[in-house]
Amino acid sequence: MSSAAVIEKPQVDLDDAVYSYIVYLHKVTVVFDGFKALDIQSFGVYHNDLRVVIGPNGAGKTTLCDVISGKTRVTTGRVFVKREEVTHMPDVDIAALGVGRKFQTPTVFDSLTVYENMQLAQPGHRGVFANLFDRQTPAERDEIFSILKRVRLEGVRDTPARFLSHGQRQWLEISMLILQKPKLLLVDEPAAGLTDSETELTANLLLELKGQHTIICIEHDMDFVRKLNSKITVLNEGKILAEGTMDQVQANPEVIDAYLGR
Amino acid sequence: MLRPRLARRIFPLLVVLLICTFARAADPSDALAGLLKRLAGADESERKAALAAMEKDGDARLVPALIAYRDGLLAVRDNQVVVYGNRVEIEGRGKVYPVLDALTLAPVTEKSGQAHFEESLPATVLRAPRAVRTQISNLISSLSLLDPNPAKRKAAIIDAGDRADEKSLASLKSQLERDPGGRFSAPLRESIARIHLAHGSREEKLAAVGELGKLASGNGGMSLRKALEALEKSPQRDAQLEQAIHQSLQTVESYQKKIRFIHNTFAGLSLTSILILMALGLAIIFGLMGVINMAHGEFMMIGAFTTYVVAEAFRRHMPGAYDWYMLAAVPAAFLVSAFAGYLCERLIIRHLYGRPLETLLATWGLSLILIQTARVYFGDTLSVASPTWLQGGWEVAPDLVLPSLRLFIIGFCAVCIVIVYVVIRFTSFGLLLRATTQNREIASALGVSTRRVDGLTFAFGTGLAGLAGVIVPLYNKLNPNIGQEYIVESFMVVVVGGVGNFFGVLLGGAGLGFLSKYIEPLYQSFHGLASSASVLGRVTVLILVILFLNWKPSGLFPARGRLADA
Amino acid sequence: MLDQQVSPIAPQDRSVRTLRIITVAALFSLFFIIIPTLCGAGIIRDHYLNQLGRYICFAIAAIGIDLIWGYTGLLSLGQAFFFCVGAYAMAMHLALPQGGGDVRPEYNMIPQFMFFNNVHSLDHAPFWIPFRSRAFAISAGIFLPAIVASIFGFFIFRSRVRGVYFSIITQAVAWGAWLLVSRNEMLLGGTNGLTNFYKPLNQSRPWIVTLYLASLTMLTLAYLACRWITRSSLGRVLVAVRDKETRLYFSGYRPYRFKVFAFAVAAVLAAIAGMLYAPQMGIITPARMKVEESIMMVIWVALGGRGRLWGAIFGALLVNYTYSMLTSDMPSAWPFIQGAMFLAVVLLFPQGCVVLWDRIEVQVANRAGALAILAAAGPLLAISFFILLEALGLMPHALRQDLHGIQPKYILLLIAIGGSAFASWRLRQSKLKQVTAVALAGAPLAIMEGGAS
Repeated sequence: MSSAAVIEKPQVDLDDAVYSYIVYLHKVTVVFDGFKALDIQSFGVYHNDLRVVIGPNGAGKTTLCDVISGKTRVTTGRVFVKREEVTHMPDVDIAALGVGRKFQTPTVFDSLTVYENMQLAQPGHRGVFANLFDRQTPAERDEIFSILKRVRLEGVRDTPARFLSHGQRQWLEISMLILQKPKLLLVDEPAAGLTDSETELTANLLLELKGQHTIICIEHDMDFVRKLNSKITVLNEGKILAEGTMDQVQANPEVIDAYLGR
Repeated sequence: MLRPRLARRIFPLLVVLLICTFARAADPSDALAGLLKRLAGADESERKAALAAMEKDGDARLVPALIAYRDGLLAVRDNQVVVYGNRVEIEGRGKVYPVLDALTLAPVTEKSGQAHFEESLPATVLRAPRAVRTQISNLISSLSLLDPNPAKRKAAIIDAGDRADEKSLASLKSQLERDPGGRFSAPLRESIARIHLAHGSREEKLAAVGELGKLASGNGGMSLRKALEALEKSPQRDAQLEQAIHQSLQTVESYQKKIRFIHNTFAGLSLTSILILMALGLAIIFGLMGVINMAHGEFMMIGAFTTYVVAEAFRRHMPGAYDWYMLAAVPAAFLVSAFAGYLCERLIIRHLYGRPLETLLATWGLSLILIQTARVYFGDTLSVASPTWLQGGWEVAPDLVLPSLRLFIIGFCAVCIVIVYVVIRFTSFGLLLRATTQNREIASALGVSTRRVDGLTFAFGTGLAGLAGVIVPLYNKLNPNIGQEYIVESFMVVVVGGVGNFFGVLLGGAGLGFLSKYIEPLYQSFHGLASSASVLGRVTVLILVILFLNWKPSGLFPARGRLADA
Repeated sequence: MLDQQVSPIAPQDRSVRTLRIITVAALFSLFFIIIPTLCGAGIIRDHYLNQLGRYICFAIAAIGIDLIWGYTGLLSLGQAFFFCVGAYAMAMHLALPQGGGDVRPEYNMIPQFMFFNNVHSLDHAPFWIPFRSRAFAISAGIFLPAIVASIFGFFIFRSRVRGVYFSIITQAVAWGAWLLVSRNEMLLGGTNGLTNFYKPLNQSRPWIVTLYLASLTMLTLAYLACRWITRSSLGRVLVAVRDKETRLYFSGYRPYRFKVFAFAVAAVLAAIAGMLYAPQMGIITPARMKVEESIMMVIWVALGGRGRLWGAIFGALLVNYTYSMLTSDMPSAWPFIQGAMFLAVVLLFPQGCVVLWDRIEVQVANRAGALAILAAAGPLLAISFFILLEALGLMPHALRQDLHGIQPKYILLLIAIGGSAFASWRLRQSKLKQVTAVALAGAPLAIMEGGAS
């Protein structure tokens, strides 16, 4: 089978894999009430890489994100982030390791203004009393302003987030992640529900981030994926079907089967 | 709910039962009437002769008349021996004495056919002279031993044992000889042994100790302890007897321990079943609509007051059928509560979907209004008399009486729970309900009228609370606040069980019900805490629930997968 | 989620700021200077000042509830319990001779009720002994609720018990505490509670004025403290917790710590309120910590306007004066009105009374003219003025005479509110002659004021 060529061989040496990837899943399965949502032999992403995960509905894409960020626990297997095992780590601790996450539906803090949302994401104080006595430096303010400008949100700086449009909310969330400076960014369908021009901007944002952060991006929209022009992992029924460039993946008969066969 | 066909079958049965009840009552005995007349006569020697004759071949039917004679409530009126009953309150006349026939205890009627009452006791009332009162009391107790009513007879037998009444001994023994394997043999043996233990010779005492050990009854244990205390105080100790008593006491206590455990289990079971019935409605509503119904207890209260109204209607218009008011009260309570719930859903709850904390406040306001409405219309102090067939109990083993009331409550709740399960699992309404609970958007996209489902579900849930309202007045006074007592614990059941899960509610209810009944006795055994045992039991359960939630924050059966973080 | 009724964007308008400063200054001088002076002069009777002092205590607790519910989104149904922890701590001190308690030699100089529980010396109720010291009582009143709330909050919040689950559990805890404290064996006076404090506390004028001023100062401090919290970046996190707690995890925050903090602050505020309440009331009973009381406290905040600190204060005073008025004027109607209040605040005006003020600010910011501002201010002015007259016992006698089952004062209030609402509506359509507007909004107020002076 020609597909065998693009599937990476499962890493025999676990230590080696943990060392070379920033995030690595080893023989992970997730079972919901008897239904196997995820069944991955080996999945790894290199430092500062942009990886796109595609797959039909119910392929386990979001579950993959959930497992890495600690929202869902694996049934069997092990998960490593930045060479640390996070299989049983609380989600808060995983976030503290530098794993940022953008949800499928944009989640921002509705009653806070755009600027306040950004302030929350700013790295620094995360404790109760530290926050009580916190003062913002001009440098921090400028940083927020420059990001907001880039995503064209500077005009609605003082508007509560609940009045933003869908696209603006997407960007606000991505901006918050950029500000948070996570080592690993999990982005779940950033182009969902966006207009073409908005999609374009989102794709550019992600590409800009590519050199500075490791990004795992889940997406349906093939045009968007094409724009990202990165390595692609295809998931189907919880399993990795293929891995490779856009062209490799598109030529893979199993992938075509999975998308069109049913 | 009752099907018409079933009602048609039950009704003739009812009529036959009623006829039997009346037929049995009409059986006057001329001989006894004669004896009574002689007792009520003026001649003192006649009276003595009459008493002697009664002692020889009297009958338990004489007991009320004798009690009345002893207490000065017996009189001759229009050539009829009558007794004056307990005073009753009658509108317009105040407290009055009912006048009853001394033998049959049927009310003495006036010419118009109405029952006769008198404001005060007449001067002609007869009272036994002091000299014969003890004799009469003894006579009463020995006659009671032969009472045709089995419950009264049994009570009399046990009473003789309680008083260690030597005079009753002969009668008890002859009864036992006549029917050694009969239904009264256990109490008879117990009482005989107790009397022997108090008054008998040493051999008799030893035999009695053995007998009481075999019977292992609580009353026997009491007598044994008393005898032991007396022995330990007396100057001459009797090691052998003491040893025997110790041995018997041990068997008695281990048996009684088992009995107490079964009792607690049984009490836990009945508490559990009520909690489950309340919590099921709450859980269905919360699971489907995310509505915290703080007024759930008040819908139970509505059910309870509906039951009261139905029972009152039966008492006024067909007193003969009072025992069967439940047949009408159950559907009535369900329908009235369900209708009230439906109205509330339409008018208030509908506007609050997706705002759980606000429904909590709104339904609390609703509960205040419902309580006050009930208070204005019904007042604070009402009660519903239980039907006679719920009085008494079922004696499974000596000392182990399961009250019929509790059995009924458990049975009733069990039936309701099964019906709820069937409705949810196998009816089209249940299918709509489950579909809407799992995914409201999809259900409505598929053409389910989620609004109608919401209304019906709310009505269904509150109707269940109404059913709980049918049974609560059976063991509790009826007041508008009655619902508030159950609401906190019902919520606990829902929280422990996991929201909207049928089996979660069953398990949660069972957990809470049994725990509090098992923990209570633990506190009772501590001196100084005994009087607060019930409160401490409830508080302990509460703490356990909080610890449990710390371990499983979403209850026993949390929702999982994609919908988990809704 | 409609829970998110926050303050509208504050208009950074100079005239609005002036309006705010004038209002705050007026309120300060009224409550801190005019009212105590009037009481000293005997115009306001002691009883009314005492009542106002007690209701100010409730307002302190209400601020705490606003902090956890309005800002953090945690609906605690157990605040009355914390209120009572403070009240009981203070009451225990006050009931002992060291705190001026009214004890008798024939009862061994300890609170009488102990004798009815066969306790003849404090040695058999050792937890009472430290309460001889006032410093201990006060610190117990502050730290005990803080510790209880922190421990409870730590367990509950860390395991991510949220939303209605949290409400149900706090309610159950308050219920359990009420059951326990009502027992005589707890040696806290059972259902009769603790009483027989130093009599002048709520009977002699100097004491009443002192305690009133103490409560008022405490209220001001509580307000400033909470204002500081909500405006700091901590306040931002609290609002974020309310909006989307799960999102915070992935920004590296541990929301449970913030929740525990807010819960503890609210508990302490409630307890401080209780400590000031007990001496002014002269008695504290377990009935105060019933679940109903806790829920009622929530309604103060809801009616005043959650998410706005002054709304909580206003709501607490408004609801409590309504309660005290209606329970004397039409007792059997109170539960209905109470219930209607719950329904109305949830269904009809979820933002509460703060909206009334916001309307005034909008008019001021728009330079809408005196008439429009007056019409917009009408409802709030009428309600505040009515409550103030009622609170100070200055409601004119003529307005309190029974008129076919209702007192004229209520009719006037309704006319003033309705009239000014009508006037604003007509003004918006610019169809109103000035005279009519003044008559509609102003006349009832003038009648009330005229009668008062």
